Amino acid sequence: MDTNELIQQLAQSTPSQKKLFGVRRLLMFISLFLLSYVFVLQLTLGLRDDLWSQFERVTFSIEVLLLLTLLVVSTIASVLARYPDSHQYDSVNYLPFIVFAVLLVFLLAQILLSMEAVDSHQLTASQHGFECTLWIAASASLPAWVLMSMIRRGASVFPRQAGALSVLTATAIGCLTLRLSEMNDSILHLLVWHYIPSFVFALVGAWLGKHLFKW
Amino acid sequence: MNEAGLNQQTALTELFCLGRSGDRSRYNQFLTEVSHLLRKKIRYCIAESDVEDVLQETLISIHKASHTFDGQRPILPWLYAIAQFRINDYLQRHYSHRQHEMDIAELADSLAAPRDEAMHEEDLPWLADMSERNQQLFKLVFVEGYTMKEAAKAFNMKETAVKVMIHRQIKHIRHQMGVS
Repeated sequence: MDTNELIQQLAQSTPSQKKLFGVRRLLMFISLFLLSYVFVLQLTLGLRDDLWSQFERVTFSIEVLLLLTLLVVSTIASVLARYPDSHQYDSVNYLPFIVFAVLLVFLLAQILLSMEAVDSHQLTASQHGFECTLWIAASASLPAWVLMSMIRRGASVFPRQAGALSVLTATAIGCLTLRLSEMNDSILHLLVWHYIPSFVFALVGAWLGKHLFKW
Repeated sequence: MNEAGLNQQTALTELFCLGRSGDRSRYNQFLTEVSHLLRKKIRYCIAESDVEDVLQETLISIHKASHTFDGQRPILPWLYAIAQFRINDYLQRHYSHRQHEMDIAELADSLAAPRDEAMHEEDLPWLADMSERNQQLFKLVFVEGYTMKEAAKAFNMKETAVKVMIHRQIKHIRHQMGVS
């Protein structure tokens, strides 16, 4: 078909889809939803008894701060990912991956430098393993679905990245709520059952994104 | 961006917004101007013979993604991002297809000479590493000269599945032969 013919055809059917929400409005809705979700999850899980004393530990505070940062920046990046011109915010698009990498390096550094003194009493008090990963996966399902549906209605030009970002946002919620409730400060446990699975889930998200965000 | 660029951007945004609100002639004008603009970019990245195909795909994508532009942001980065997405998509398809064709063509050439003579399994030592089914498929295509379609029919498989299987086997053989 000739390009001019195509233009004629396209012009006959002027775009009928509704205009998407603007970035700010959508970001507000998504943030409100995620905040409420975190709140409900935290209510369900409860807070750890020693939470306030834990905040006196610099490593714990930094970890929680990094998780919060990850949640905020990945939410913004997920919202932006649905627009084709999201490349104009490249620094925001890659920031979640950088924050996640910093978090992993921070934990690894604690193991290597033996900065973290593990309280054996707390370890035996609540020794989770695979349940943590399951919790993160289960709690991430709803926000991941919401974010992916949102991106799917747009037109992402980086489908893999968008998929990974939406899952990273969702798993950050699980990790954060679990960190504030679980009486387990073993760095190895956090890496093996919380953060490495989150990384794997993000890879799955990238794979899903490639297939789900075709347009 | 210079003044001419800014003017062009404003004019395109205006045409697009009018088109969105149902003015067909403005939308036609918008698409025509965009096609002139993007043809240059696409021509820069893609062989001349395929420029119009990619341009048409890009125009359809712009039409489909029109709801993602709110008229508040600059339109040119939005247009170029969609065009780049379609160019990348095309290049990915093009090179994977080309690599696939080259693999098969190369192997077909290398097997062309012995095809006239009686071919024995000992002439093809790497065949022994393959499963029975793959060996038969390979012989059918490269020794007996079946087309991919015919081989697929004979094996009750999809043509693409046969292509993928052969492509994988060629990669495996290349690896065994130490050819990169």
